[in-house]
Amino acid sequence: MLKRWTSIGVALVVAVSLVVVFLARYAKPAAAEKTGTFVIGAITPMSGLGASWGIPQTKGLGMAVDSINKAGGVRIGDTHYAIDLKLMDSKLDTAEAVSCCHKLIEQYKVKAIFTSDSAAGVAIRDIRDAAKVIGMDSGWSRDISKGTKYQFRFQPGSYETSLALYRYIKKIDGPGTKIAVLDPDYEGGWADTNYVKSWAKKYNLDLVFSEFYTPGTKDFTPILTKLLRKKPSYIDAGCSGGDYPILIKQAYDMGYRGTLIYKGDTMVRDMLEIAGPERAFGVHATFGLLDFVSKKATSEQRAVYKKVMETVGYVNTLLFTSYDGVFMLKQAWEGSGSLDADVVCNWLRTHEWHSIARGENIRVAPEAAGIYHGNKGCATTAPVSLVQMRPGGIYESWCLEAPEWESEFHEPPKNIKK
Amino acid sequence: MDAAFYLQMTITAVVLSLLYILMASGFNLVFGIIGIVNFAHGTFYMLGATFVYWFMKSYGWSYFFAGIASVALAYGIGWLCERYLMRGVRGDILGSIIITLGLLMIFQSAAQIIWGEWDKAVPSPVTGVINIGGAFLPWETVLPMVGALVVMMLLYWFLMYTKLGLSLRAVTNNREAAALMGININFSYSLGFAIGCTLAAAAGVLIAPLWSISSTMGSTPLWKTFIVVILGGMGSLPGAVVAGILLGVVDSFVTTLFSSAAAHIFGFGIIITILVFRPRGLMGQI
Repeated sequence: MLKRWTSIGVALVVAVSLVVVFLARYAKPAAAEKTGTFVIGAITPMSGLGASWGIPQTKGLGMAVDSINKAGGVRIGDTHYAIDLKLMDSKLDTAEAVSCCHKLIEQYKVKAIFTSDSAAGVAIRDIRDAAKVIGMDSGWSRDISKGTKYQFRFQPGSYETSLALYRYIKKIDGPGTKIAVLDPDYEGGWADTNYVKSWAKKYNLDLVFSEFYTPGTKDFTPILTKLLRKKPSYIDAGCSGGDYPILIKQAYDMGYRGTLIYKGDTMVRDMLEIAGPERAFGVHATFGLLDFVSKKATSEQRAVYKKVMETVGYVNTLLFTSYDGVFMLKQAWEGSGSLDADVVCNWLRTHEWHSIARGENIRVAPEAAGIYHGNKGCATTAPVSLVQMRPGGIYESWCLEAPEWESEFHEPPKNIKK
Repeated sequence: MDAAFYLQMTITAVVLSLLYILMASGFNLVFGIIGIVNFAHGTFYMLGATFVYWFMKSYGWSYFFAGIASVALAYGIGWLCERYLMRGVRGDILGSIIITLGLLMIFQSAAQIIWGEWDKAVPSPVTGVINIGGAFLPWETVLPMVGALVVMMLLYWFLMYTKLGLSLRAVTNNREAAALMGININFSYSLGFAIGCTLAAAAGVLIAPLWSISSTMGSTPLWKTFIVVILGGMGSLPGAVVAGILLGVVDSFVTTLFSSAAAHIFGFGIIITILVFRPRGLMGQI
């Protein structure tokens, strides 16, 4: 009897062992979740001149990357990639931007590089293209993406905003209205002045003054002395970054009560801080935060706006568009199932992607490699709009007539002067 | 072009000239007494402006009280720098250049870290604009003009009519003889350096309500100071006055009549021409 049970026991042990061996050898293990990391970079002025663009951009990029990583990262196939963001301070210097670019590409092997100014964007354009690194730029000059394969302008620049603005000025003030343009002496400023000249000519506006100043100028009184003698109705200081609030202040103190134009809203905080609400009253920018603050803002946009205010404490277009730009790339990486620049860019040009800034799905337009929707003007920000400072630091936005855009929000005032 | 146009240019020229003279005087004092080129001079200008912003914003002090505290703090920092950093490289030109360049980088970076990258503003204690025949003179422009004149007069009085000022001039004239006469050279060096830094800081305090404040705001005034000092003559205070006026006029008039690029060409053209015929500068002695 005992011998029989012993035999059965031994047989059972052998059988179980064989099963275990078989399972260990041939059974497929449960699929382990694969993880990885890739790097994106930003070359943006985080100090000195241009910090008022660069810092908001870094905030927007950081918020987007954190948000994506917390939600599981970028999923490509069965791999979840975390994004590692490398920020480089270009100091608004072209040589520095090139050096940063080489470092990001060669050392960090980045998949994309964001910039916020034309100087950097143009300087590294060919380097990025040769290395097949996707470029996301918000500088003024269209040359950033001209003739390139992988570079995109992800927010409207002077070309688009000047066009809409000057068309609007002609509509409300008539042909022959006197315009003065004052730009800093670098890539963005040169581009802006060229666009202003062409649109002023197209709309029969009288360009009475055009000059470049040295970036970093703190004393505009010599130039303003000359400019104000021309009695312009509008002073367009389109590309002036950190210099603009000083310009407003000194123009006001020298008796100018016409309309000052700044094409961008990155300076709102500085206008109030440096120029003061009284001097900033009546200053106009040509794109703002309509999407996020208007009655038509979507719940998603309102949520992003709230998050920005809680995290950063101020609002800024470049912050939002940079934030949106990272999500655009995420959709392209996931949609194309690849990190390869050729595949991703092809996907962007053939598919729609959801823009938080626009609150809708849009697609890159083929012309100028800009991120435009084919028939709705500029993408990733509000349509070209008008922002007017009011006493107390409040500013209101109206939508201007963009080339193919109908005014959807507030009705713009008949006269945009104070 | 009418009188108001030229008057506006003249007002701008006066403000710029006084700023350059103030900066160059401090620089020349340091060079004259210690014999070093202080590359951190523009940084003290930045610190003066930044300190006044800090005192007004964080402690709610008035502009005048914050300004006095700022220059006092700059004086103290200057003294400490000379006493503990510069003294060890006395006579070593390369060493002093490296240290002052290092101070420039340290102070600039520290200012960026402590007070942030954003441009800042100091509210002016005076407001309003005077209209002089069509030319506009804001009261906040009058402030640095008057302030700079007061500081220069105080400097003149100090150097000419006080015992300490006399001792500094003696050291400038002949270091060895001054030491033999019982003048404490170490003390004079520290005093001279500190006063030089104070003058730069005073310029920053005076200009703070007029322009914006940033950690890099000292770079342009520094190279303008170099121009004025070289043009006027290294170590020459009267030369700094003449050259400061010349540069202020060029900057204002040429920029207005032509362009800022033309002002650079014209300004450097004059300097090169003068230096070709007078290498030691307009009133230099070395």
